[in-house]
Amino acid sequence: MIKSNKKIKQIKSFAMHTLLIIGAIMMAFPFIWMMLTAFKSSQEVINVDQWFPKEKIYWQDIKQNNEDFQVEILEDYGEAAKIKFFIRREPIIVDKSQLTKKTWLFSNFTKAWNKVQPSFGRYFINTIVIAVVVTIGQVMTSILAAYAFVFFQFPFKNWIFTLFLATMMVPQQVLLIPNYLILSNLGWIDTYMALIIPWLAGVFGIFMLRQFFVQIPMELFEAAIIDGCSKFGFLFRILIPLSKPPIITISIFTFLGSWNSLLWPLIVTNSQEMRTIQVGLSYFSQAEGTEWELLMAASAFCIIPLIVMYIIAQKHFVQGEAGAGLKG
Amino acid sequence: MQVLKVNYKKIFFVLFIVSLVFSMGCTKTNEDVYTKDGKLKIKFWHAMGGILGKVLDDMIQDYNKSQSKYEVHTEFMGRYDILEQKIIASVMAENTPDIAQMYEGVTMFLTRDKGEESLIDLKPYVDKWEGYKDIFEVFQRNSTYDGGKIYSLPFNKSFPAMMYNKEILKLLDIEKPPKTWSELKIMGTRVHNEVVVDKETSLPRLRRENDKEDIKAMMGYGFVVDPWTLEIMLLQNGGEMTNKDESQVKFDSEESIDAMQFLVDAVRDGWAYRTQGYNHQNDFSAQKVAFIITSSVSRKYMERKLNFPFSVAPIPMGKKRDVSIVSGTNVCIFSSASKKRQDGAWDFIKWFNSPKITARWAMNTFYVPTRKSSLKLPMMKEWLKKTEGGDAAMLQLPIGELEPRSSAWYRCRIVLRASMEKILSIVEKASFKGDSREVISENLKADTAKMNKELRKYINK
Repeated sequence: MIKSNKKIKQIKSFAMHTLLIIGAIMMAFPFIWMMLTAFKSSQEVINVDQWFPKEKIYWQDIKQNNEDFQVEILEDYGEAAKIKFFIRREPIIVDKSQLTKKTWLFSNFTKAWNKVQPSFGRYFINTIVIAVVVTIGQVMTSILAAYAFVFFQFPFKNWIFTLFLATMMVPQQVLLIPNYLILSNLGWIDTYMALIIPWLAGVFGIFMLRQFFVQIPMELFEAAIIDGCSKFGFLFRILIPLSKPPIITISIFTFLGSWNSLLWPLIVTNSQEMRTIQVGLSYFSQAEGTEWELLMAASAFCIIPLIVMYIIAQKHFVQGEAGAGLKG
Repeated sequence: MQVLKVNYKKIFFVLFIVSLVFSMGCTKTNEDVYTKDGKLKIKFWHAMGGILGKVLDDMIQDYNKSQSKYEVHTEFMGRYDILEQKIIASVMAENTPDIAQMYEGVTMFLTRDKGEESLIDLKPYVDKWEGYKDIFEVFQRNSTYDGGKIYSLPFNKSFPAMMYNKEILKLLDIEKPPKTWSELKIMGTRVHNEVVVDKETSLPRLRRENDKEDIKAMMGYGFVVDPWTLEIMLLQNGGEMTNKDESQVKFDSEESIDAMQFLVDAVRDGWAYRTQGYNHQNDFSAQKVAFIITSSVSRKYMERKLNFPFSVAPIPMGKKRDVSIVSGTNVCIFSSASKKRQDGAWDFIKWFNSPKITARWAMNTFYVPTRKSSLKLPMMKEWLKKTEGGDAAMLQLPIGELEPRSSAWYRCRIVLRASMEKILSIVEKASFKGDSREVISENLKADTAKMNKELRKYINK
C-alpha cells in the first residue's frame, strides 16, 4: 500500500515537473529567440529552420564607411580571391587578407548601439533616472495614501478611494490629450518633469498596499500609539518592515512600467536628448519593414538592467506575487 | 482607528502654494528661434525611423547646408499613430511644430472637423511656384481640399508592388511577371504544382517523379490581409469605394465581392496563402513563395536579405480599369508658426519637392518621386538602368487613385480588414463545404453597414 502510494506520488511529481519544464521552455522561448537572433545576419533571421548562426565570410568595404558585406569565394587565386556578394552586386577580386570568417555577429550590438541619435547611452541614462525616481516616488505616495486609507478616518474616505479606483478604468489614450494640455500649459513639455511628475502617484500601488494593510490588525496600530509611538513612527518602524513583499512587488511593476513606456515619452518629449530606450527600439521597427537582428540586439542590451534587478529582488517578488494572489 | 482632523485652512494654503508654483512654470513660447549662425529654426515632426529615417536626416542636413536662412530641426515621433495623437494634442495646446508629416484624415480633422483651420492654405505659395504644375496629377488631387485650398504637399508616397523570385520563374520558363490577376493565378498555380522546396538545400527546384508526397510545394502567392489590395481590385473591377460625397461606402457591390472572391479562391485552391505581419516578406526572402505584394518601400528593408535573383513589378491589373491606389503621408504647415517660419517651412517643402531632391528621395527609399520632370533626369535614368524593377511604383503614378480622405476612414479601414480576416478564416477551413460567395456577400454587406455607421457619425458631428 505504502509502495503504491509512493509510486503515485512519484508519477504525480514527474507529471508536474514535466508540465513545469514545458511551461518554462515556452516562457523562455521568446528570450532565447531574441538572444540567438541578436547574433545572426539579416538573412539568417528569416530562415526559421536555422536556430544558431552559421559561419559566414565577410568583406569590409573601406570605401563605404567600412561596411561589412557577406560574400562567397567564387575563385581562389592564392593571396587574392574573386568574391560573389550575398546581395545584388557585381563580383570583384579582393585581397584575401580583407576577408574574415564570422559566426556570431557581435557587431550587431555595436551597430544597434550607434544607430540611434544621440546614442543609446543617453537613452539609458534618461530611462534609468526616470524609472528610479518614478519608482521611489510612486512607492512613497502609495505607502502614505494606503496608510491613510486604512488607519485613519477622514471625511469622504470611501468616496475618495472609489474615485481613485475609478481612474484605473480610464485608458491612458483617453487621458493623453488632456494631460498633454496640462503639461504644455505648465511649460513642462520636453523636460524630465513631464516624464516623471505625472507618474509619481499610481492607483494600482495604493490599491495593492491598502489590501495588504487592511490585514494588519488595528490593535497593533492602537497599541503602538498608546505606547507613545508617533503615526510616522508606526509607519516606518512597524508597517513598512511588515510590508516588504508588496512594496517590492509594486517597485518592480512601477520600474518595469516606466522602463517599457513608449507612448508617453514620445508624446511629452520632442528632442532626441530627452528620449528613452523604448523610443530607441522603435527606430528599428517601421511600418514598411523591420531590422530584426538590430532590434533584437538592442532589445538584448535594454533588457539587461531588468534581469539584474529581477535577480536581486526575485525572492521578495515571488513572495509579493503570491501574497497578492492569495490575500488580495 | 484614528480620526484625522481636517484643517481646511492648511489644505487651502498648500493648494495655493502648489498652484502658484505651477503657474510660475506656465510658459508658452512660440517665438522665432535662431541658431548661432543666425539661421531661423524650423521644427519638423516626422515618424521616419530606421533606414528611411537615416536617408531623411542626411537630406535635411544637406538642405541646412545648402542655404543660409533656415535650419530644419527634425523630431522623430516613433510611429504614425503616435505622431497623429501628438499633432492633435499640440494643436489644442497651441504648441505645434512648424511642419509635420500627416495622413489626409488628420489634415481633414485639423482643417474641417475641428471648426478652425490649424494648417495654413498653401495656395498663395503654390500660385507663385512654377514647380506645382510639374507635380503628378494624383498628388495635386491629394493636396487639394474644399474650395480649392491646398493644405499639403506630398512627402513619402508609395504604391503597392509585386516582388517576384526570378529563379522560380526561370525554372518554369516564364520570362515576364504577371501583368493581371488572371496571369498571377495561372503562374501561381504552376509554381505550386510544379516547383518544390528541396529538403536538403531548402532551395526551389522542379518537382520530380520520384518525389515523395510529403515534399513541400512552393507557394505561388503569399499575402497579408490588407484593405489596400481589396480597394485596388475593386476599382480595377470597375467599382467604387464610396459614393461621390464619401458619405457611404460600397464594399457590398458585386465588384467588391468579385475582388474578395479572387483572394478566397486563391487560398482555397491552395496556390496562395494569407499570413500575418511581415511573414510574407520573410517567406519571400527564404524562397518559400514566388510572388508577394507589399509596399514598394519594403524592398528597402528586404533587398539586403535576398541572395537570389528577384525583381519588382507593378501590382497586377484587373478586368476593367488599369488603376492603383497611392499611399503615404503629406507635409503641412501649421498656422501657429510665425509668418517667417511659415516662409521657411515652405522653402523646405519646395526644396524637398524639387526634381533632383525628390528623385534622390525615391532612389534611396523606393518611395515615388513627386515631380514628372524627375523621371527625365539623367541620374534617375541611370539608377533605373542599374536597379531592376526600380520603376515598379513609378509606373503606377499615371493610374494612381486616392483612398477616401475623411478622418473616419481610418476606422472604416479597421472594419474592412476585420471583415476580410473573418471571411478568409471561415472559408479557408478544410471542413468548409458551403458557398464561399454567400459568406463573402453576407459579411461584406454587414460590414459595409458598420462602415457607413462610422461615416454617418463623422458627418453628423
